[in-house]
Amino acid sequence: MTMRLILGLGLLAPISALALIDLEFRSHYQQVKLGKTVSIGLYAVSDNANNQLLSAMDVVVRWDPTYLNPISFTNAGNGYAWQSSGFFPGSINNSLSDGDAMWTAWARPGDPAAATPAGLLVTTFRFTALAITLGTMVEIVPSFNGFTTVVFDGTTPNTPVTGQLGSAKVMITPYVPPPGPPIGAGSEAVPEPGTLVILTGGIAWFLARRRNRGV
Amino acid sequence: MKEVRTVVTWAAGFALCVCASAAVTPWQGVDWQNVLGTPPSYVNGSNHLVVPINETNLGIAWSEKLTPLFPASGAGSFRSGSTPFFEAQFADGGFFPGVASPLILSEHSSPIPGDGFSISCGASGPFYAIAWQNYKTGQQGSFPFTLRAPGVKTVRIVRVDLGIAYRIDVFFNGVKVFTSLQVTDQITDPYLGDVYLAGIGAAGQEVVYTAFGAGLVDPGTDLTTPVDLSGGYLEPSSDLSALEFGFTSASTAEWSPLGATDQVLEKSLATTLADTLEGTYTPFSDALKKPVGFAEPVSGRTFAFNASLSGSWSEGVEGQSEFSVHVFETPSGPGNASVRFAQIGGDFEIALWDSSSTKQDSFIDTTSTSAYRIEGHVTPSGDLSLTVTRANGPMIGSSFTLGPIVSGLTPGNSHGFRAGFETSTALRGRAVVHIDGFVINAPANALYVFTDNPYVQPADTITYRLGMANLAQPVYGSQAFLSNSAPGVQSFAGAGYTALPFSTWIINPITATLAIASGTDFFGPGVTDDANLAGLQFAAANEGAARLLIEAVNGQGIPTRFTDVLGQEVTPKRFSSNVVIVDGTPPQLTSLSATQGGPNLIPGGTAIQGVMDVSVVVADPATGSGLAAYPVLIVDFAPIGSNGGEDVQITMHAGDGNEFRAQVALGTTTPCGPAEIRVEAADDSGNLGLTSGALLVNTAQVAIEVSLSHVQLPTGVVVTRWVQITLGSTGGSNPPIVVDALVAFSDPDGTGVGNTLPASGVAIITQLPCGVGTAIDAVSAKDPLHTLRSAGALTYLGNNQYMGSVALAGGDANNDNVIDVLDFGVFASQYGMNVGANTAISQPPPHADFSANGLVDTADYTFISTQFLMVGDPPPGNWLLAPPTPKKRASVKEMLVAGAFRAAEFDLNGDGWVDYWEIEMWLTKRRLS
Repeated sequence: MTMRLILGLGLLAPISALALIDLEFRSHYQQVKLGKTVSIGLYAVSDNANNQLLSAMDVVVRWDPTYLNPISFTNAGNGYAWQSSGFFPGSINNSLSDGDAMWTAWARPGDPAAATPAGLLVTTFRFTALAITLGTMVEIVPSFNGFTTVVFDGTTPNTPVTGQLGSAKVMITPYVPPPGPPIGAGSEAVPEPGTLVILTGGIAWFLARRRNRGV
Repeated sequence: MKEVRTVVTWAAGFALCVCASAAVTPWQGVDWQNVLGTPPSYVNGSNHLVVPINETNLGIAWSEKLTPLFPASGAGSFRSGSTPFFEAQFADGGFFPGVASPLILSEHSSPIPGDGFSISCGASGPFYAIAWQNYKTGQQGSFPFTLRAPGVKTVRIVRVDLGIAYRIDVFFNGVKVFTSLQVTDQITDPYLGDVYLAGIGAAGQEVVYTAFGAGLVDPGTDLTTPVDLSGGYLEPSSDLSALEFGFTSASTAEWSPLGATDQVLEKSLATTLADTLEGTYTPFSDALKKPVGFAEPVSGRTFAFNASLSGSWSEGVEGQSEFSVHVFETPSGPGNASVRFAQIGGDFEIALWDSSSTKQDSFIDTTSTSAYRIEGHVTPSGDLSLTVTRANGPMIGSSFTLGPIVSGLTPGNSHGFRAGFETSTALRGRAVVHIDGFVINAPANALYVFTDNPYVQPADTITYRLGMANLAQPVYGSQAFLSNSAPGVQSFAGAGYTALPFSTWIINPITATLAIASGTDFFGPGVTDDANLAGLQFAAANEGAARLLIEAVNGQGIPTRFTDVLGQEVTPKRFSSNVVIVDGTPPQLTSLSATQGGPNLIPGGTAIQGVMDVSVVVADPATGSGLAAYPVLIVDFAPIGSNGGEDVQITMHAGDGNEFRAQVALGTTTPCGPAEIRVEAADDSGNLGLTSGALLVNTAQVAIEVSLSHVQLPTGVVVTRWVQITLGSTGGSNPPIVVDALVAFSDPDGTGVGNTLPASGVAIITQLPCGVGTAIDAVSAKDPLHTLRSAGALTYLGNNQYMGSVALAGGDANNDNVIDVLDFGVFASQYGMNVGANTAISQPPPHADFSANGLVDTADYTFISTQFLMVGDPPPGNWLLAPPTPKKRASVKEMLVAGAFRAAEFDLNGDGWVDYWEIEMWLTKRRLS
C-alpha cells in the first residue's frame, strides 16, 4: 500500500518588528591539538547601535561528535550573571555526546541581560578534540528535532527577537609533545604562523597520501 | 503472534457487546475482520457507528484496508448521509521526541493508479499534519498543527459539501482543538476510494487505539410509520423494483373529477433542516388512501405530468441517483419504460429507458431549465416517445422530443405507474422532485362517481357526483346502479338529478336502492358533452372508509348503460368513486421537546439566546384521514396571552418517521419570562390535535472578548481555557457576579504566529437576571491558572445585552494576582513537562503554560521574568480586597499550596524557606554540565 502523507511541519518563522539579537560563536575559526580542549564563546550581539535587553534564550547547538566531544560549558568571565543556565533536562540533552544539545539561559527576574553591539559573552562551550581534521563545524541551528533556538525580548514576554545564528570552525591538529618541559605545559597555546604553515601542509600531505593509497 | 482477539457482535437493534481479551497485541498481521468481528450492522436512527477496539501499537508499522468492512460505495460506506465521516481514536503519553507517526488515517484510491484523492492525518513527534493529494493533478497540500499533550486524541475526516470536499476535525479529550480548512477545489467529482488505517510506530512507544468509527446511515430500515400527508412517504431505493407504487385514477383534466392536482400530487416533505431525510414525490397515494381499481391500457394513449426539479443532486454513478417515473404492465408483463431525470454538470438530463433498463434516448438540457411538462405518447403497438416542454427558464415554452423507443408495453394489457428516487449515493434525500398535473387521456364513454371532499367527520354530509365524460357518440340517456360499500360508515340521505342534459328523470325519486336513470326529452338532441347527471348525499356515521360503487348490472340483471340514437346499449367505462374517510379522531401529538444542545427544557427549563430546536411526534390513528399539513409550532412569549398568544408561528418540517421539527431563534429582543410552546396539527377531516409545554426564557447575555497578551497561536489551533469572569458595579451594594467560562482562544486574524494580534476568544455569559440594566457596569477577568486579573468597562447595549473586553497578562500561576517567587516556584516545578494547552473549569494548579503551547518551557519563563512583581487589577464591586504583596521568598508550605510540588527539594538549606537562588541551585543540580 502506498501511504502518502505530506508532513508540512516546517516551523513557523517568527516575524518581529523589533530589533534583533544575533548569536555568535567566537572565535569563528580556531585550531586545537588532538586531545586538548577547545573553548568557543557564545555571544549575544545587538544588531544595531543600541543595547537590547533579553530575558531568556534557548540555543540549539550541533557538532560532529567524531571530532569534538562531549560538550560542556562555563560561565566564568560572563558579562552577566544568569538566574539559571545550562543544559536543562530534556530529550535533546539526554546525551551531551551525540552531537546535539540545547543550552538555556534565564535572566534574573526583573533584571534582564543586555546584548551590546560589541557582544555580551553569554557562556563558553567547551569540547575535547577527538580526531584530526582540517575543519569541523560547531553550529547554532534554528531548530532540530522539535527544539528551537530562540532569544526572548527582555521587556515583553514571549516575544522572540532571534537574529542571525553563527557557527565556528575548528581545526584539530596532531599533538606533538614538545621536548623538555613536562607534558601539558603550554599545550593549548596557538602555534606561531610559521609552525602553522608547516603543520597545515603536513596534514594535507598526510591526508593526500592516505587517499592515494586508498586507505 | 495472534491471540484471541476482540470479538464484536451486534445485539438486536442497537446494543453493541464487546468482549475483549485482556491481552493486547501489535497491529502487524492482524486482520481487521478478526479485530472487528462481524461487519457492523446499521443502527436504526443513528448515523455514527463506533466500534470499540482495544489495541496497542508497540512500534511496528502497520496498515489495513477497511474495505469491505466499510465498503467504498453504497450502503455501509461512509458516503451515506449528508456529512459522513470516519474517525480513529487513540491515546498516547504525549510528546514523543523523534517518534514517528502514531496514526495515519486516510481514504484514497489505491489500487487505482493515477486516480482518485487521498486525505490523511498523521503525527510526528509533537506535530500533526493533515495532508491531501489529488493523484490526477498531482496537487497537494497540508495543514500542520501541534498537539503535544498526553491524552485521548480523535482524528475525524468529514465529507462535507455534498461529498466533494473534506474537513478534518481533531478532538483532544473530547474537545475539538483543530478544524482544517475545507479541501474543496481540487476535487472534480466524488470518487470511490477505500478507507485505510495505518501507523508507523517506534520501539517503546505505546499508543492505544480505542475506537474506529464511520458515519453510517441505514438506507432503508426505518421501521417507523410515516405520517400520512395525503400522500406516500417513500424511502429512496437502490432498486427501482423496490419502489412503492400505486395506480392512479387520474384522467384528463377536462373530464376527470380528480382534477389536475388532486391525489396525483404528493404533498411536500421538503425541509430546510440539514441531515434530514427528504420525502420522495410520487404521483400515487399511500396505503391508507391509495386509489383503487385503475389499471388502464396506455397503448394508443397519452399521459402527461409536470416535473419540477430542485435541491442538491448527486452526480454519481449513472442509474443510481435518478428520479424515475415508471410505466409498467399489470399484471406483470414484459413491457415497461421509464422517464428519468438526472443531473449532469449542473444541467438536467431527461432520458427514456426501455424494458431492459437501458437508456435509449436522452437530452441534456443546458438552458437553465428546472421545470418541465412531460407528455408521453404510446403508439398502439407500444412504442413510446416523449414531448418535453420547458416550463421555466429563458426558453420557457420551447420543446424537444425523445424517442420513439420500443417499450414492449403489450397492447390490450393494463398499465400502471410508479415513481420515486433511485439512489444509493451520499446525497440521498437532498434532491427534490415535485410531480403534479399527472393526467392520462380518458377512455371513451366514461361514467363515474366522485366526491370532492373525501375526508369528513362523523355526522358530516358526504356529497357524490354521478357524471359522464369523453363520449364517443351522442347518447340520449343513461342508467346506473350504484351500491354503498360500507353501510356502517355512510348511509343514504338523499339524491337528485341535474336539470341538464337529461331532463327526463326515469327513476324518480332516487332512493336508497341507488338506481338512477334519466334521458332526453322524446325529441331532444343527443348529448356528447361531459356532464354531471345526479348528486347523492350520504350521512357519515362511524369512522372508517367507504365509497360508492357503480355496478355492471342490478339485482335483476339490468345493466348500467348509455343509450344511443337507435336505442341501443352503449356500455360505459365505469369508475367507482374515490374512497371517503370518516374520521372523528384528532391527530395525536406526543414527545414535545425543546432543546438547546442539552436536555429537554419542557417543562420548566430555561431557554437562552440562540436557536432552540423543537420537535414533536405526530401520528394520525390508523383509521385516520392523515395530516392535512405540517404541524404548526406556536410560541407565546411573556407576557403570556399578549399578541393573541402567538408571538411566533412556524410551520414545522418533517423529521424522521413521525417526528416533526422546527427551530425558534431567541434573539436579543425576545422577552424574558415564562413562555408557552404549543403545536397544533389538523387532519384532512378537520380534527385538530394539540400539545403544549411551558418553559422560561432568559435572553440576557454578556459577551466579553478575552485576549491573552503576548500569546499567539498558529492558524487553526484552538486552545480552550478556564477564565473566571466577574461582573459588578463601580459602586452600590450589589454583590459581584462570578461566572466560570471555558473560552476557546484562537488566532483572531488567521495569519498565525508572527502577527500583531494576541490570541483571543469570546466568553458568553447567559442567564443573568433580566432587567438589571446599567446596575452592572464593570467587568474583570482572570485565568486562575495563568494570568493576573484584568478589569474593563462593561457596555450596556439595551435589551439585557452587554459587551466588554479585557486583556489578560500571563505569569500568575497560583491565582494570587501577583507575579512573584511563588509563580517561579510553580514554573520551576513543571519546567520541561508537557501539560497540554487546554484547561478545564476548576482545574487545580499547577499549569504553568502561560504561552499556551502545551509545554512548560523557556517561553513561559519570560512571562515571569519580564513582569516580575506585577500586580493585577482588583475585582469590580463595592468592596476592594487589599492588594496582594509580591514575595521574594516564601515558605515551603506556601510553595506547596501554590502548586510548586518540588518546594521541599528547593529548600536546600532546610530552613523552611525558598528563594530564587535556592531554586537556581536546585536547577543547577538537575541540569547537565
